[in-house]
Amino acid sequence: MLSIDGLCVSVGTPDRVLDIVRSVSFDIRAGEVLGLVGESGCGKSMTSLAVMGLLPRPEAWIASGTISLDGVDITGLDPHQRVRKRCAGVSMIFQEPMTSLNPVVAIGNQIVEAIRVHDPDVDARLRARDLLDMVRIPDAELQLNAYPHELSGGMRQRVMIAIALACRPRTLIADEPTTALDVTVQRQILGLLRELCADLDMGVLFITHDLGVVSQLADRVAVMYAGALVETGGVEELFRSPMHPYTFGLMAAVPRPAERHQRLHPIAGRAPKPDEVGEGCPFAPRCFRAEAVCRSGEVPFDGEGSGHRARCHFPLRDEVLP
Amino acid sequence: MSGRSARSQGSWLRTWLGPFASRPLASLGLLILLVIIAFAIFAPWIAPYAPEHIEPVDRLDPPGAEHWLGTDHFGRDTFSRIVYGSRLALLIGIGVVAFAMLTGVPIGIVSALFPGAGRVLMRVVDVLMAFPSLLLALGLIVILGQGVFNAILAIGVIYLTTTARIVYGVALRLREESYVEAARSMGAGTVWMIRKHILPNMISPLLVQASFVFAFAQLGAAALDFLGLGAPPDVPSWGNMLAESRIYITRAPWLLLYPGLMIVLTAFSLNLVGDVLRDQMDPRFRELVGNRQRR
Amino acid sequence: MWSYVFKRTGAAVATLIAASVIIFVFIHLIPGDPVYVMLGDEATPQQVDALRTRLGLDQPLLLQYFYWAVSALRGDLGTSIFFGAPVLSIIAEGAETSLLLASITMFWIVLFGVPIGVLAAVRQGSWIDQGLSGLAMLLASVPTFWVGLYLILVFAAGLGWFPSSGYPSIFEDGGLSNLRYLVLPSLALAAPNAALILRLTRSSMLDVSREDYVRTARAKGISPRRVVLGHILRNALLAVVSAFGFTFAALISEAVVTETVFALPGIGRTVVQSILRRDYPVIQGVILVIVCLYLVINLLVDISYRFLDPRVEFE
Repeated sequence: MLSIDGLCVSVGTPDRVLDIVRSVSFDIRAGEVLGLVGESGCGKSMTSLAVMGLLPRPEAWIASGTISLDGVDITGLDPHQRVRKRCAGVSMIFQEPMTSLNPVVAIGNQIVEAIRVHDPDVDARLRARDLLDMVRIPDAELQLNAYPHELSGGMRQRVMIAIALACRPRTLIADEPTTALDVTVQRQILGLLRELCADLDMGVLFITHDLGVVSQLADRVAVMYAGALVETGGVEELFRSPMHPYTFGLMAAVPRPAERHQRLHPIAGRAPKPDEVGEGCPFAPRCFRAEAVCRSGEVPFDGEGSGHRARCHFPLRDEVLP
Repeated sequence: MSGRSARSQGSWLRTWLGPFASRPLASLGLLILLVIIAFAIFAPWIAPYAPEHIEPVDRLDPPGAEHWLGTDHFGRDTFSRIVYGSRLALLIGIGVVAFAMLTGVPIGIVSALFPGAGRVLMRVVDVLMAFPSLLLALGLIVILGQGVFNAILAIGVIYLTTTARIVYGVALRLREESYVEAARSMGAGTVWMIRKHILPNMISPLLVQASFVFAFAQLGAAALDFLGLGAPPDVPSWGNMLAESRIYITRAPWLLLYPGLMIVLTAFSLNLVGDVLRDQMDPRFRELVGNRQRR
Repeated sequence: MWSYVFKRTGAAVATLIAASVIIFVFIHLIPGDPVYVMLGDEATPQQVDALRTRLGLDQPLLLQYFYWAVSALRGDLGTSIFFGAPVLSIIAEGAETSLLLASITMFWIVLFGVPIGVLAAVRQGSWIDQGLSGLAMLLASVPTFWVGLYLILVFAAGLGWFPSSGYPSIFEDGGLSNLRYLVLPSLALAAPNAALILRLTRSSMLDVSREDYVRTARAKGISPRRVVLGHILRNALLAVVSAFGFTFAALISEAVVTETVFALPGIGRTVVQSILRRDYPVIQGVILVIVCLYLVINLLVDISYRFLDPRVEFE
């Protein structure tokens, strides 16, 4: 199980520091898909990079908090250090399959490279072929010698997944892996991830801004806003009755076919930039339920331990809303 | 409070001079260039002796009180000749840059806007670029004869080709830009488009190109002078000074050091300034122009 | 793939032909009657007529060009006015020196330019990087003949480690040890070019290190050294290698001056002397050969690029 506790990430220079991830905590259990949702710039990618140990140095760093894999503290270690300490159980796939593979090396060798890091003795080429089969790439033997530019976006993303699976990870982080792909390909990849999660008993952290994708794929959902986690819970419960006004606003903003000729309901205002976040709840300036207490001091989580809870003084509870 | 024009002028200065503030080395380069320009303009007042002034008694004197940088085999004061040499250096630099820009820019723009003529023109440029640069200059010197003006032309042709290529590339991309298409669809004439859209966008890359061309022109001119194919022997150019002192370098190493050092400092400062300017350019232009420099 | 080779070769040949036209025409651009230009003003009428007929200068220009071009293809580049010997043999004499000089220089350039560029990139922003980058820019600003003269002053005249001029062939007495005559000249020639390759390597490495696939490589957990060598450098070299053809042209150009400084019996020095002696057949022949060589080198670099970058499409 991957546990993130109170993770804070900052960027900038020694003179000018911006907090872009503010005390984020969640767990990812084996065989479970956790969807991390939020709009662009809310800090979800930075969170995932921090968990992976890939924060771009020296501009970004983990200010505080811990990341532990099955009880072992891996905070602040980059992937190579984790391999050395034998605690490399987290893999990641990225958003841009078109540019995420080395263009001058055959994909077989790129997978082999990932395998050999963790398993120097195994027959890497054979295992690479098995991995290609696992991600449903046809003609695996042939494709081992293919170059990335010869493959489509969907195929490349599958290769990325194969590379990520090379080390038999306990947890896979997928940062918007389908955003750059066609809708039909998207469904295939999502289906693949779902199956792998179950077959390999692997935990998946799925990052996206697309609520539709989350509702199909995730078991649990965590919602981020302006660097902070505002709500977590099981997918059905969260979609059925969101507790945090922001989550509610997100769902209300989704256009519905039934309301075709009516106005859309966006959330008024815009998300704050990291240097614009003030005291108190970051959503307060735009929140229709905000009161004075919301604008100062820490906002605690309301709700039970690992069930459905929101970071709000006035969470919505099955109320009748306009 | 000053009006808008003053403020925008101030920010223009800040854009181009600002980056020097944080880069001491580049600022030093700028300072060196200013000194050289001062040398050129105020030569008669700065140089203690006339550049042709001969003192046979003091031949091959090492640097000392009377002759700060020593004398050459004729007894001419090195420092004075170096000061006057900066005039030639500036002349060559300005001449080459001006020639390259005045010929290269129109060729590049015309080639981009009129594809038919463009194909032919760029072919010619390609053929010219098939000649290694100094060889091209040498060939032109053979036809034109020696001399400072001919050296400017000969070296200028080299950078005409690179400038034309760069301008062609930039103009082509700009032509594809949507705002140019929009202007065209509104009936904008070609000349207007050039003036309003293309030229202003060229200023940044051309400015960077100019500083590098200026730098390489120094090296090219020095090489031509050294071979005896550039400035006439009596002209006090740094390259000539090196050529003349060649046989005396073991006896009078200062004759080798100072003129060469001037060439290096000039070219180095220009390269530094060019680098800073290039970093200042909008990233979009950097990818339009690329990094190829020709010597 | 072969269609690409043919197309590229065709383009190179076309360029060569166009360049040859320019080279041919240039002698006719020199002010004055070419024959008097070649023989000087003291020539007797008989010499003038003889040369005029021999060179076919009484024929139409186009015909002259064809004669010249066809002869050139057969290896006959005319006869030197100064030496009276075939131009081709004069070039051949200088070939060994110049080719060896260029090769050794390329060796220094790659040896110093690439690894130090990698080092500067890997240590970007540090004192090492700033120092090396500054040094590179300084070296790129020095005239090769000045470096050459200084090398002579220090290492030849001063320390006596290397000879200061000349070059006896390695096929004569001394054998391979004669290569020491080429050490100082090649270092002088290499200095500014190595500096440029250093800067190119550095900037190429920095550009590549920002690419997404480098992040993927790091995510795999492979060692930083593997990331740098196997992923970053491997891709950065593409830009560096494609600059080699162009570096070679700079070498040829500057070798002209370097050979003069070190009195090397190479093609570059032949060019300069021929210019000073107004030996036009030699000037024409040498420039033609050099341009041809440059185009061939560029062609080879372009074609070999395919083996480095599998993305290059052959059309």
